[in-house]
Amino acid sequence: MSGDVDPKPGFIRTYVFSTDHKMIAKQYLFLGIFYLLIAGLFAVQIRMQLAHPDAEAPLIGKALWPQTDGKMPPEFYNMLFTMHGSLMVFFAITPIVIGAFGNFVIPLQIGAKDMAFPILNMLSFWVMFIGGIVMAASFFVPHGAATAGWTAYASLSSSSEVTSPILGHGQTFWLLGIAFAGTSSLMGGINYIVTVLNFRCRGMKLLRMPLTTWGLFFTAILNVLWVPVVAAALFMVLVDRLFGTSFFMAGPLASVEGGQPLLYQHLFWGFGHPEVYILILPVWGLVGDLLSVFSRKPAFGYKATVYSMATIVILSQIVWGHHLFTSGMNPLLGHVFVFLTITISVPTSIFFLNWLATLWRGAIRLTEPMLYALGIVFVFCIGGLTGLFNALQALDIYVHDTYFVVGHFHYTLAASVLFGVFAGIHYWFPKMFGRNMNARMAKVHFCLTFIFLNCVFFSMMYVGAGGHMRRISDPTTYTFLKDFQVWNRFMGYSTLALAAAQLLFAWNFFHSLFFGKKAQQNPWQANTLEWSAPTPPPHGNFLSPPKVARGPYEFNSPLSGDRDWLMQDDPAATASDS
Amino acid sequence: MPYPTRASADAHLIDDLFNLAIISTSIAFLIVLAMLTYFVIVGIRRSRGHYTHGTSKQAYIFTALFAIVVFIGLDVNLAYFDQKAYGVVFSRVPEPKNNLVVQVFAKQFEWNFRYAGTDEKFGTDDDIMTVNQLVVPTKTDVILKMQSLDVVHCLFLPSLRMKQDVLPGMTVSLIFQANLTTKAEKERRNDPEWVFEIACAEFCGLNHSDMKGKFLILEKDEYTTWEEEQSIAAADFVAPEVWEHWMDGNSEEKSE
Ligand SMILES: [Cu+2]
Ligand SMILES: [Cu+2]
Repeated sequence: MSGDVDPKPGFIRTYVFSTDHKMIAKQYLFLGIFYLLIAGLFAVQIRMQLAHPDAEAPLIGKALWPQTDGKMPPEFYNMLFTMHGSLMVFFAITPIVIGAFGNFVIPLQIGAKDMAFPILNMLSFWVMFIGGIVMAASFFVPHGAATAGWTAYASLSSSSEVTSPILGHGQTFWLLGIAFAGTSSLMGGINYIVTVLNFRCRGMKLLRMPLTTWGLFFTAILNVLWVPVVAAALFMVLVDRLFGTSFFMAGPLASVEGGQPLLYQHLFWGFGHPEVYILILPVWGLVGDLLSVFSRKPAFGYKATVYSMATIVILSQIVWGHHLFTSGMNPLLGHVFVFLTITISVPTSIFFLNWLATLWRGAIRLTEPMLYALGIVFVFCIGGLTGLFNALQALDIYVHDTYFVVGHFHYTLAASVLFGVFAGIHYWFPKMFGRNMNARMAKVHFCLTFIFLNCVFFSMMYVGAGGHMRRISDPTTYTFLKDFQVWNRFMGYSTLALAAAQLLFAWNFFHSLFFGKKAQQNPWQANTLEWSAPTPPPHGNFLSPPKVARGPYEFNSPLSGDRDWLMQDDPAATASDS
Repeated sequence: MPYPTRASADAHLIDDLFNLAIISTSIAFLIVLAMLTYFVIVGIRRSRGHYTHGTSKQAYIFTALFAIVVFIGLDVNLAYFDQKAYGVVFSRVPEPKNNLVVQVFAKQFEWNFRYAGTDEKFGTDDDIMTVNQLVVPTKTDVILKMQSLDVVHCLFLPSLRMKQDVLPGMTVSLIFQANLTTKAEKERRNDPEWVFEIACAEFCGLNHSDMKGKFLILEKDEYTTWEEEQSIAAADFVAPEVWEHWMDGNSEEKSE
């Protein structure tokens, strides 16, 4: 258990099969950054193809497809968008936001020595690592990686008899890779829940936990509830493919009657909608933390924020039908799902109210993490409001499977969560690696990313309003999409610029890792327990077990004296409150 | 906004709803943006943040009121107009004497359409088959009965703002009435090449991008002429074997 700390582990136990939550967090972080890079490069190729469907694919074209003068064949395009989505969701965002931040932050913020189950924790990383290897290997099997989209709708994904690329083993590898990622999330989820419930230090009541930990805790609950559902669905797809069953097969392709492709969509989105919140809840929590720290003001409506998160956890599980308005589902059910879905805006609007009210009368410090946090409020506002369009039945039928939807969920998942990734990395980097990142470079990176990301994602929604379908490799063959080619070019070049801006981040990250200025213990002057631990925290985290006396956001409290912050475990001011 | 040309009398309801949603969410967004900017600009110069402790009763009441205002003012309002539009556009009851049934077979990667022909019976010699070309008369209720022969596809008619998944193993229908002929729109644009289009919106495999077709809207008399010509030409057409699966169960079906 977490009490057993080996004082001098060897190299392998320290850096490879480590059970220290902080080392596992770093492993997740590097894994996530690696796949973020790969999946990001796929996005560049996708946008370049749409910008110039008839031209040679840049860099890789001539080498891969000499017979077509470097023009990208549709099966490769299909593989690109399938793997872009799958890798981003399951192997980039999940390991960074949940794996790295969750592992690093939860034990430190609740004053624990480590996770409840350190060995399970180690396994959860290595299971995801194997999943990543399986996904990477799938590119090298005949016909290449999976081509059925990240949603892998049956019966396209479950059929082994449909056109050649799906015949290949890429789709089977994909199913296995996602199964590994899911298993990892499940192990992590159980670990996070048990840790939060049982390993809080003295005085750390549930309602004294920082919002980041709350977000990660709710994420863990959703993971434990819904990963098994998608795992079951993918298992049925797998046996349909490999052993000729017909869970999701109907019509002429089915070997026996009674299968139902629509069932897959219900199971997938039963998981898929909560998945959106699985990824965004930790980011919401982080925004709550950062806005408070850098406004030097207690987080407004802390409890209301926690209750809103809990409400969202419940609501997110009963709204999946808004993905199925065109599916052939009974329209009556559609009306119910419209109503259920719009109720989500009640807790969401409370987040915005609390964030704005936190800034109100605050002493704003525009540090790098704060810039990203403010960026999240901006892009998530667009993402959340455009979600409303998709909740409306008649309107969603028109925008369904168009770039409007793609733009919308890139605002929530790509823009908001990616800013969350940057905010979190810049915020905890000093604690994690004991060094500072370059602040000026980070601010330039923020500005460039903010501009180009909006150029890409807003244009997506614009062409989507014109009916531009997603997942087509050549929009120029459609008369009604002719006018949008100029927008597709614009998005292509903006994506290039967006990708180039990430070099700044990469340089800043890796350079600071080795040459950054040595960090102080509490560089942001925050109150939460991770800043009470030495920098970087040793195995076991705290020199002596912390004892918490107050909530996480006591800035400018009358008790804090000359300073404007008051650590949660500060013994100087003994009066206990909240 | 860049909406495609409308070819039905109802389609504007979707565009109106879209515009309403854009306007109301833009207002909400601008309010958030204005407050965000203001608080940040004013706050930068402050050296100490304002201390509050816990959440006061007034704050709770204010939060609840705020959430209710957003929910009713934005969400319920939009949902009301949405459901109204849905009732008109997607719940059309076909006129008994003025309709046309077309069977749609989706398969990788083409759209097949079957018309009952002049005898108004399916499964007879004069059935008309078209590939990647949906031909309909104007001001007539068209009832599409759709099935997929392999994976899930989705029939997308941008000019009608309509979309419906086409699944294997079950028949789904889509009912609409077009009111603008292709010819009239060609003349208006002064572009003889221009057509209304159909597309596949649900990713269905390798050549999904090419699974599209023309959507021809004819005057009623032009359509009758077309139907007669095609029915005669169709006499020696043999339906592909794979269609029989579907045709068996439905060959009794008549065009009402
Ligand atoms: Cu959803
Ligand atoms: Cu398709």
